[in-house]
Amino acid sequence: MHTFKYIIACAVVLTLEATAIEIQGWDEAVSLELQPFYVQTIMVPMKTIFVAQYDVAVETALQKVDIKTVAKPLQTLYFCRYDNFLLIDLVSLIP
Amino acid sequence: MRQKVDIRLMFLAKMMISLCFVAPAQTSLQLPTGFPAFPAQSAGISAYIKIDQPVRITEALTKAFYRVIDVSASHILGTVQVSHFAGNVYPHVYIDTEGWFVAFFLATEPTALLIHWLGDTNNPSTTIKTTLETALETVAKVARITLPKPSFYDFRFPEANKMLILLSVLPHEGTKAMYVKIPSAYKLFLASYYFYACNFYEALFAGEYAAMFKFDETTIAKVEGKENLKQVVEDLPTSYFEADILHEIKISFAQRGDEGSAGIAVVLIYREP
Repeated sequence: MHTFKYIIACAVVLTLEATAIEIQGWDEAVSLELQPFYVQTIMVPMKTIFVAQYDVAVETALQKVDIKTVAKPLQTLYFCRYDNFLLIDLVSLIP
Repeated sequence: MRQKVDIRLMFLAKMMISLCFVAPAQTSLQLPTGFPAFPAQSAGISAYIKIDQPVRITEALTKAFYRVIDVSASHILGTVQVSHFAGNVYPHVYIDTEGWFVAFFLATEPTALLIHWLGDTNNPSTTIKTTLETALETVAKVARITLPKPSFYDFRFPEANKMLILLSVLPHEGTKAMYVKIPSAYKLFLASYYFYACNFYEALFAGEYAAMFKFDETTIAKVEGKENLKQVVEDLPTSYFEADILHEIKISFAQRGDEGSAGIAVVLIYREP
């Protein structure tokens, strides 16, 4: 009976080994699970003034958006990309 | 009394003038319906975390980004610079007010760009870390949020349930061989590699290269020249990984002097039965 159990155990181990990816000689290996996810957030336009300092990130952002309206008396620029609005304080953009 | 009325009238007039300027721009602010902020159609390999607290999209948060692509009241999307000794990479990062943090490479970018080489050119580390994790750490630090370990997913391959990252370095002149065998029960969706070499021998005869990466004796990448560091990051055809056969991945490296190193990392995305 013990011999029979041993044979079964060995068979299970061999089966498991046979189904794994075999690797040799690597310094390091990491196996990670891949799990699906779904982000549901919908674009919401800026409703408050987005005050941005003059920096590379914002400068690049400005190149990517289309100027819709410039309301100079308020010293504020209104930008539109797709249907998404971004309001940036003009004063803080001047270096 | 008359003075108070004048002040009220002046205030009212100022309000009306302000409204005249503001109203035309603000009336066109309309909530787009059904337009998702996260670009799932463009995403490839991704590392993500959902935290249980709201996140504010602030000016300070934009400074964590190398380039801001889209920003709204509910999300920000851009690229974040991640630097390591083998080069700079720019994974995309998406953050929204619901608490989603997603770092990803585009579907068209080689997946092996996720390798974050640690150590330095003369003492490369064998520890595996991803540039996606580093990008998330960068934005989390600016947002003053401690993020847990991320989960991973590849939007190109919904059936894939595993990713294997293999890494080897050659910190001195020589040759090193590694092996991989994929059982036929597995379905391989993608194989990608990152090969680098630095401080290599520059005076070479024709056909002789300072650093080389071979797959089953087929030369996949070879680098030589006067630059101190060169790297090749590409996807490999999955047909190379014929099932149930031990495949050899070999790197060789000829040094200039005593310093420099070479390294190879392979990323496999597959379905484990």
